[in-house]
Amino acid sequence: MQRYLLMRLGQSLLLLFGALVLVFWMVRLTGDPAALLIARDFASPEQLQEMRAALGLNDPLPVQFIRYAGDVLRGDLGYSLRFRQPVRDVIFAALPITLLLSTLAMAIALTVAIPLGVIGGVSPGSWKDSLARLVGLLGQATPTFWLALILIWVFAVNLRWLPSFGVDGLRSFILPAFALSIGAVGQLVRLTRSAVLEIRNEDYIRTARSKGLSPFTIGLHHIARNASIALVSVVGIQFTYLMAGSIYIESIFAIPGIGWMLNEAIRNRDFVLVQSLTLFIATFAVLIHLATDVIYSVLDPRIRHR
Amino acid sequence: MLQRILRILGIMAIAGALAACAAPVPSPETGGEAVSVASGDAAAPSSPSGALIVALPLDPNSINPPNAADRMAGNVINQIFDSLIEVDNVTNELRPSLATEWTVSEDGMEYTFKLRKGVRFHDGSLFDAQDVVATFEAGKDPVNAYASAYANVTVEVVDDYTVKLKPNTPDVTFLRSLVGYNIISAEQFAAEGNAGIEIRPIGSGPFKFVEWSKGNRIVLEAFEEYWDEGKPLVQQVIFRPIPESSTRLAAIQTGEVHIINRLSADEAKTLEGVDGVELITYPADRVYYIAFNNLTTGVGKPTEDVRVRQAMNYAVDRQAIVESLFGGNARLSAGFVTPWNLGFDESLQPYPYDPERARALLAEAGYPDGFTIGMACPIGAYTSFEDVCQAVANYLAEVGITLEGGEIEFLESGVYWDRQSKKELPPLFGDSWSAAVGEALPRLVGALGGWQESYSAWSDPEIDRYLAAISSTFDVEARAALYKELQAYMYENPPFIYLYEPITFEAIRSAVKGYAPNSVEQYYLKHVYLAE
Repeated sequence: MQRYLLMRLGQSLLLLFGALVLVFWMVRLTGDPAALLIARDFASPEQLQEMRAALGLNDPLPVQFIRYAGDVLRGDLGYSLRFRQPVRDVIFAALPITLLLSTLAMAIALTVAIPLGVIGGVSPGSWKDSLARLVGLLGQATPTFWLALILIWVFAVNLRWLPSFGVDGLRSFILPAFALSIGAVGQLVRLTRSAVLEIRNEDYIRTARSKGLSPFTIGLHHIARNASIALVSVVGIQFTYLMAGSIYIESIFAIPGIGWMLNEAIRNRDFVLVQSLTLFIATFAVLIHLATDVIYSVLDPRIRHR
Repeated sequence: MLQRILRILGIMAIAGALAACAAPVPSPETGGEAVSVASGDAAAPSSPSGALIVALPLDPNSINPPNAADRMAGNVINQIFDSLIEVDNVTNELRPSLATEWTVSEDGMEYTFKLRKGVRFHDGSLFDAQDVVATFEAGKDPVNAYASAYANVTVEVVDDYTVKLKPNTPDVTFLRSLVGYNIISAEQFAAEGNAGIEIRPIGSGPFKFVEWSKGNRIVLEAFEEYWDEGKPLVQQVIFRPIPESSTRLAAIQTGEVHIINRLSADEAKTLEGVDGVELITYPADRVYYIAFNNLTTGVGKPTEDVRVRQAMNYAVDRQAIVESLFGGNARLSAGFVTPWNLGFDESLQPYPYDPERARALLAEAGYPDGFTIGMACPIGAYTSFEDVCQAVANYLAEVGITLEGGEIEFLESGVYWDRQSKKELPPLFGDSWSAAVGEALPRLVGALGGWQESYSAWSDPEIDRYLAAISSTFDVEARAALYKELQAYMYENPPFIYLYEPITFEAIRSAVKGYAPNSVEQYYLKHVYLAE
């Protein structure tokens, strides 16, 4: 168990280092930030040069990279050019909003998907199962941003039930969370359904039935526990997808979370914020995967003992 | 991506509408000084009332005046701060604000302002000459994006209510540019410095700053002691950044916001006939063009021959481009000076579409079969500009001018401007340039100033001579005459393939009265009220 976790931790660190290198170089592929930071009417060649020097862009790339990596290791994510604040402050201002949005979306997805998946899984071929499969298919095939615009059009413009944009209390999160959840709903329905379907035919279920256990006990201790293993791994991954999806959703609904911030950073050529945000999101994703592995190994003894 | 899809859908919708009937859009030719002002049928209130909600297409980077990166930030600042002078958005004339009168010295190097007495800042301090001094002192701090502009001005205090401003280098547009220098409180600057102004800006303007929740809202409140009697007319102004244009369209329909701007023609069309929403259109002071290069990549290319450049101007059907991509909502350019600039020559007609003449000129220049040349355009910088570039390339191909590598080099706008500043773009490259001082001089110098200018790829001694003359002629009439001569020269010796100047679309709720943005999207909300 310990060896397994240590190995996963090592892999994660390696992954993060890779992300660091990748982000650093990709940000520098998109051109010279100095050129965009100075208004065109005021940009003499000397001033551009001065700006590049001030931002440390004149040093060779490896030197810039070592400096950046050193800062990151010391926990210094740099200073945002766009927000004129330390990147850490900027991220922590936006993080709660995105976490709330993603958590709500995940809650919606689980509430819709698990019952549907279970119902479909226990009665394959029935109309209930058809419904579950339809939701699964539609959920995965519907583009988030398209659904977002449709939701705005129906519930904000036509019915006037909910705000079309911004953050004015919890009400403002309903439409974005629904739009964001759709992909997760699709995948979780399909996954739950197939997991339940598979487990239902396992020998140990038949054994449990034949020794006279109640359907409820079988459902909870045998089907649910085993199905949850598959579910846990996907929920973690889905959560990172939700974070990624928030880049579109937050921009459409004008919600100032991490996704909106990444857009702002890119639009304003704030290369410090872009690289730090990307690294932050990568770290977040890696941590979630790590957590998933830990939970997974607790639930599934086979992994623990391997 | 999303915008692209919506744009394509929009173009399809427009194409359908055009087939059915002529689109009921205002003719660009009637432009002139015209800014359609929201009709003012209901009486203005006697005291400020209501909350005006203005959607912004983006969150301002800063609302500290020397850091405002764009018009949207500038418009928030305009409501909190005053300048020495302001622009009347209807007549386009300069008029007093914090300065009541001014005189300009013969040589244009000294501007004396009498300051308004009894003006208070939002922190209660009185306005006087020291605040003007502090404004330029604070502005030129290198932490600010526009420090160099502020550093270019020397302030001399004559007495408490008289100051002399002296530009360090001669600048004929100086007086008008002062509209953009917002006066800060010397008391605040002394106590809190630039960092304090960033967080809690204090001006003498019609609205005082209340709060800024980044990316969500900026709240301003009417300043009861504002010097301009009877203004402002609304109790609160709330700016809401909404980056996605389809969401802005939804928000104006639901009435969640009162004003939305930066709409495309297609988007504006979707609001036609919507209950409670009115459209506002006005021509933008921005010229789109395909530039030539005779400094670096274009050296030794056929485009050094003036006949070739004329031919390329004849080869492009601007009218068709503007019709199909913008529903006709753009003015065709005949030069680099727009109708909203000093000395605009209205007698110049855009180059007509004449491929025969283009071929003849090319043959005369020694290229009867055309030639091959490189061309680049930016992605994601301007509405439909990728399609415009593609159309231009197709027209050029029709007269035998083909592209190196067989296609336009499309570059993400950041990379594009980076390479433009290093003069590394191919000999043909597309771009646009706006002007904010009522004259074309900054954009002429910026785009045609030769090696000294970061974004210029062109040098022509004759143009240099005109620009030098314009820059040192302080008499307005004489300057206007020079602009006219320059336009005639640049028409015969085009340094660009001239394209178009777009029309700007905004939408307001019908209740909004007195809203009048100018050709650079600048507005003053102290005149605005809500009739309901």
